[in-house]
Amino acid sequence: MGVYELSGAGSLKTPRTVYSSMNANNQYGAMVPIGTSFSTNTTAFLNIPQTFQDLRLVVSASIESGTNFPFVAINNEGSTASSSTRLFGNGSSALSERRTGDGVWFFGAIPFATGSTFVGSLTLDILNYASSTTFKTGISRWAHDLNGSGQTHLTAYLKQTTAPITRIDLGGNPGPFSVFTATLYGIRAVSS
Amino acid sequence: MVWIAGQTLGTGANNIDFTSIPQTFTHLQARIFTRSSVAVTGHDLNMYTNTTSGSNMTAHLLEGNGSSVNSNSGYGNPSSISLVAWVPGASSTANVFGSVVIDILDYRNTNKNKTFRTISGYDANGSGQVNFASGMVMSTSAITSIGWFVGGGGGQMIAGTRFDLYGITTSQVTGA
Repeated sequence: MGVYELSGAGSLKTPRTVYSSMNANNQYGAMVPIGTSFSTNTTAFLNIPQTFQDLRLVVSASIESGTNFPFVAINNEGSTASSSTRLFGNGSSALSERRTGDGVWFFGAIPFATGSTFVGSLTLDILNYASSTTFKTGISRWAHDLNGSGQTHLTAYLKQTTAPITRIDLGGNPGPFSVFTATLYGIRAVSS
Repeated sequence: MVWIAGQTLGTGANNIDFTSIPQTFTHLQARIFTRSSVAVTGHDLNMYTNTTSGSNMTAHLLEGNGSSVNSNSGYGNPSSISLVAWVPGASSTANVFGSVVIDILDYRNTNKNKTFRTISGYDANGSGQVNFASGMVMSTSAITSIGWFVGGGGGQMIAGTRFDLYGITTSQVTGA
């Protein structure tokens, strides 16, 4: 399978650039990039291959001003079948909270700082994403530090669907972002 | 990162074991997606290694359950096993499995004890738990096998459980 470059709108660029030679040499090992987006608006990873074991989403993002709670949406399906359990610290307190009845998975508070040099970092793992018999569970680490403030989060998410994950959308709440890079990886369980 | 071995359980299993682990990587990562057969809401997932002889494993956890934050040391330090995660049990919402990612650093280095760290969690729409965990194997022997089981015995990891072991190398990955 080749590695394709996504447009900012989330669909495949035309013409495509297929880096199949990288896969032929197994340069990425088990963790294979599926796509990368630099869009500061909503990003969609479409037609996610069903040939991996797990997915990993890596995001670096910030906003210029205001309060913003970025999110991940599974399969572009906006029912209230998402929930989460969170452990987080803010430099002075350790807290845990729970959300139910959401349509999306929320990261947590995002840093904002003029100049776009401060970013938050997210790693979201979705194990067994292609299963058609189990609900979808995600586990994420999200953190930012602004030299005097900041937060670090560990969150478990649930999407009550047995449908395999074929699409992941990311966005601000509200958007847009001032700095944004997102890469989706597939982690494969086959011999190299 | 290179896949070493893994499997999806067709039926429940008391233990998951990886044996004869290749001694050619620098670190290991285990990725486990599981649920316990025992009629509890949350159940403990425990780890042991080939070097577990008597009491030489330790653990520390930081946990959040949606309303409070707790810290514990598993079954006391040291012990013959290490508590690494909490996963949903049979009394939890159906079809919910827990996710566990365990990094075992420098697993074959014979000059140091072995350290591992874990992130894990599950959400069951009104219940759930997330955990940071760390632990140590107080042995300088290289780790050649690792295993997991749920609870204090009598429970199984149910059908649909998926477990994978990956090797992390510091050399460029090449291959056919």
